[in-house]
Amino acid sequence: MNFIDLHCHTIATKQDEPATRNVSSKSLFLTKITGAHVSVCAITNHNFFNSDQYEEFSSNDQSVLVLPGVELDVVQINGDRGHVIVIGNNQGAGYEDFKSFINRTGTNKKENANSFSIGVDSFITEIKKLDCLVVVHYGGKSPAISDETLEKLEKECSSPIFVEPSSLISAFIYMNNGMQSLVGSDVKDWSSYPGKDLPELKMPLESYDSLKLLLQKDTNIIEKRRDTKRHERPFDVINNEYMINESIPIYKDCNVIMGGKSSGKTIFLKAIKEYLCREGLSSSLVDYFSENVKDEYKKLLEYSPSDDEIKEYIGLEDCGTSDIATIRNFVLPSFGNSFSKIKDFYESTSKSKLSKQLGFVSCITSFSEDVDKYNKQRKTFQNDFKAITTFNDTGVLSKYLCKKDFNEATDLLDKAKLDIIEKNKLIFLEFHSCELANKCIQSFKTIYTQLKATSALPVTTGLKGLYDSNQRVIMAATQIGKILKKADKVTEIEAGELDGKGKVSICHRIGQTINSKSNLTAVKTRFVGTARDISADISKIQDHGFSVDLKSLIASLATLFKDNNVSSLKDFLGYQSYFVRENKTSFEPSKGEQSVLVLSKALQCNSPNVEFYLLDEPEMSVGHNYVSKVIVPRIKELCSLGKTVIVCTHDANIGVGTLPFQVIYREERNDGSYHTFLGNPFSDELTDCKTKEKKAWKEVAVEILEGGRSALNLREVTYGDRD
Amino acid sequence: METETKLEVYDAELVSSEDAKNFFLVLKVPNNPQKILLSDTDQADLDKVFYSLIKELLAKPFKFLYKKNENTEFVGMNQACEKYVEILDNDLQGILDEGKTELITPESDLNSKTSN
Repeated sequence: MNFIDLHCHTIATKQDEPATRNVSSKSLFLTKITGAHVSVCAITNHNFFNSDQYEEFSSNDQSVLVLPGVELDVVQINGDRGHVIVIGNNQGAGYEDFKSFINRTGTNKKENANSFSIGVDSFITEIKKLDCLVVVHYGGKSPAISDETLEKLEKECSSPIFVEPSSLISAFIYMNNGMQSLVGSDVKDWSSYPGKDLPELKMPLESYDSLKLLLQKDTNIIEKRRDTKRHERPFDVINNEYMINESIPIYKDCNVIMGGKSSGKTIFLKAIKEYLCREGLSSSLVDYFSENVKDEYKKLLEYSPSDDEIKEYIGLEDCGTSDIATIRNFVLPSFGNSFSKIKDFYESTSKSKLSKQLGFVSCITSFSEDVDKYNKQRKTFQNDFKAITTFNDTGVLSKYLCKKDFNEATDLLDKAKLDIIEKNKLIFLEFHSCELANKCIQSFKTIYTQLKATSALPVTTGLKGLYDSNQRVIMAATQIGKILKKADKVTEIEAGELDGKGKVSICHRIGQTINSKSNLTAVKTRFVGTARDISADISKIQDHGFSVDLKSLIASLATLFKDNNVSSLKDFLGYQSYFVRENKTSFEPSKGEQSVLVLSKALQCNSPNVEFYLLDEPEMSVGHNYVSKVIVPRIKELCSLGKTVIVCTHDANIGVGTLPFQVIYREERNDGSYHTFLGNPFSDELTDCKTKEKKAWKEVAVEILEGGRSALNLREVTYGDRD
Repeated sequence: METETKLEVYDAELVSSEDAKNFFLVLKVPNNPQKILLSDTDQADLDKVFYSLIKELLAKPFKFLYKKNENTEFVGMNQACEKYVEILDNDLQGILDEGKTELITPESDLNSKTSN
């Protein structure tokens, strides 16, 4: 943000002025001015203009526009002295005229300053010859110009006379603190410059001429300056129920929607939101609608930890699943009797020696068991036997042989048959003997091999296995115990500022349901056992360490887990969301505070992706202090960052104090018609989009935002700002 | 450079009951000697002996040295006991090799954080 200071003193010219008003060097002057972000200033010493100093200070390469000026003691109609500031043109003939005016009035000499005064008539005569701006001390600014003298000045001077903040608004200047900072710092001590809030300058001013034109509401120059902040395309805003069908220019600054009740202001803002969504810009906007506060507040408190958050809190990738399983599935290893095995080994070694002595181990050659050959031979014998029998039965021999020969032949055939039987017996015996021998050898070999296998030496006594399994389960129990004792993790997210509570935060808390006294929502099913049950078991396991009791202790813990269906450390976790004050104590926000918190979320959004801030009656339920201390400064800050703020309001601080680039005035008339006027405070004009009817912005603003002129005057009188 | 842990050496001996029906392997851990019944069937107390050895080992590393029984009738038992002690020493060394740092986390570590 930039500021303007049209009332700067660089030289203490009067006797009663402090020496701290003196500026010793140009560099000090510029350091102070730029340090306070002042981009336009006027040097207005009392009754004295030092052209040498002015020319030195004004020629700078730091983009500070320094205007020539003087603060004169003017003797009014009633004889009282009043202060009038004259600010001259800084360029060409205008500057020369200003210096001539200074010379003519004798204010070019410092020694005259203390006693100098000029009558109002002479002042008017001089001013008429000059291109200048005149700003009078008025009201609370002493020594003030009376209404009577002011009226004379306004009537007889050709130069513009400024006394009110609203006049300066037309130059894109916003007054923060009313009369005290009407024109500037009136600095008394440069070491604490500016010493008070200065008026904000919303647009850069490069010359005296541009300042004067803006103050005189020159339409062309106002529009030219507004154009620099206008969105390329107007927003198509449509709502048939409220007769809205307009293309509205919107500015990368503050845009105010104002109007009476039921004039469709909120609808208008919603229609703007719909337009932005239609244009694919929904992710570039944040909004606040007072009617949605209840739901949005609930959303603020919505919190459920993600898997990653849970893992990070527990500190184990598997969330303790394997540790729980180790406990649940623990079985004490059987380490057997290794000593017996050693004994067996040595005994079987002796047996082994004996079996070698028996020799069957070396009997590894199998007897031939040629089944095919055996079967072939048997078949041959059977066929031969059958052939001889068949031939004998045919009776052929009896036909041709004598009885004696026949008997001899028959005996020979019988002998052949017997021979066949004998040979068959032999091959049968031979074959089955081999088969039997082989089977015996195989059996002995099998017995020997088995004997040898059972006699292998053990490699462990079982001690190491016992240690390993116990170690695993103790480590698992220890790990579980460690995590169950973990402190809750609380993540604080700034949520805004509340009167009486300071900066408040939303806390997202994740912790152990079994440890926590407060009511955490369980991540999974709530573990119904108690922390004492688990802690007691784990403590005993740790205390006993390697002991015979370990088995029963682990079994007790495993039963606890099994009965509660615990399979991961997630089963013990819970979460909670709540608000804390600046002093970290928790509280339940009131309805008004809920509005503030919801509004803060939208208003304080700093995402670089967000370009549009849509705010519907942000003043609702939040209190005037919050409006002036938080809402208005934040809107101005957003505007200075080039963001587009569109705010629907009944509040004068917002509607006027933000010096909006666009004012959308909605009006509902008795005939049921709705009208949309567009305008701005700089031109002090509002124009009906359809009929082109014109209204004065100031009058509408006073009526709608201040409750009417009489109400505004009454307030000023009540506060003592006006007689 | 890994430093070698110096091991205490304790005796292991074979002793028999008066009737010579039962044999025991006596592990002479100072102040806490252990006795293993060398029976084929009764090994019920072996886990107690083992747990005791583990505790002693974690407190102070050691190994055993088997001293033969001079009784000439116990040749076979001597041979088996010598082998058993050798295997037992391997187990003890295996536990030591895993390092004491992996052992139970001290209770003091667990109490370092308290819940809200």
